[in-house]
Amino acid sequence: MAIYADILISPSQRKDLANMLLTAKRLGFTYVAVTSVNKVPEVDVKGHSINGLKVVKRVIIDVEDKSEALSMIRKFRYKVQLISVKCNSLGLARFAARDRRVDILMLPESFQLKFADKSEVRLALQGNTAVEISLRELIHSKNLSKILALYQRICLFARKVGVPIIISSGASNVYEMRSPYDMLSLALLLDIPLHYAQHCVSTFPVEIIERNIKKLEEFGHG
Amino acid sequence: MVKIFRPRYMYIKIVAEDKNILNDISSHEILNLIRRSMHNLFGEYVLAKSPIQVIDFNPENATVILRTTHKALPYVRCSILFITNIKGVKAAFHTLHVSGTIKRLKAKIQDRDEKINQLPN
Repeated sequence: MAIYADILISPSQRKDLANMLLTAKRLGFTYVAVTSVNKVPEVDVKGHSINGLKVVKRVIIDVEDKSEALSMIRKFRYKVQLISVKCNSLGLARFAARDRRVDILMLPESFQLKFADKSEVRLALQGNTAVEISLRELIHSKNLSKILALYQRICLFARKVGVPIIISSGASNVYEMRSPYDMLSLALLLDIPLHYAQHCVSTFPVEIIERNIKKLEEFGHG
Repeated sequence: MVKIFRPRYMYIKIVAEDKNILNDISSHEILNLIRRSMHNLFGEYVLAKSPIQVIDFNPENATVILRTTHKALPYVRCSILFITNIKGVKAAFHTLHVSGTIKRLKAKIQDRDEKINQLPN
């Protein structure tokens, strides 16, 4: 049976967290990453891990220049299981793609078109960095056709060069969460085969999480 | 003989911010929500090729059983993904099971309910 992971939930209110984690369990997720921007998420990983659901921490580094990003990566690498960088500029995207400590690249709507060229995606491959597609951005987008075209292009390039694509919900409350099966159905919109979409929701994110948990345990930070 | 249309039954759970909203809507309105979402995403052509029928709507449990065809299933699932509100109230539709026969679907629902009852509240 497949193990599913939702690697981006960021509750807008603290009280929502428990409810969201319970919903994630009911929907069939095994891993959930609680996320904050530029700080370690305040979540008790062991306390919140209920029967069969494992909670991990994730930081989104949302800065403008490389040096700031570098210092943040250094600061957070041993404190959280997942590090992602929001690619606000081309330079930052190249830097994040090359850095092996960065697990996931996030593509803001404004930047994506510039990013989606083959050489950038190839750089990401060298650093073993995955590209994330957030369902929330699709659902709440005012210009769905534009963002869909972009995501389709990114998926096409990423699959060509073998870069893992990760689909996450990006939920900030229970009503934005979706079941893994529903997330798989995005395959139709992104022009990717269903079996590949299955990897996007299960194999790719789970591999990254388990690899990082193992690394942190080796260094005594687990 | 190969069947052109094979039925698919979907078991959907509705999560709404205000649970009373489910008492105010009918199965027909649920169907319209899904059809509207499908129209926005895929247009008239796909909508015309995708028969959808609400078999059962239970406002107490907030569950819906839909009937569609195997060819329309991916489109219906995708459309359901994009429903974010019911009459302005925040809501989400979660597809929990899909089956080819209603008998098998009900067996799956029973199995699932037993598992969920074991979870902490």
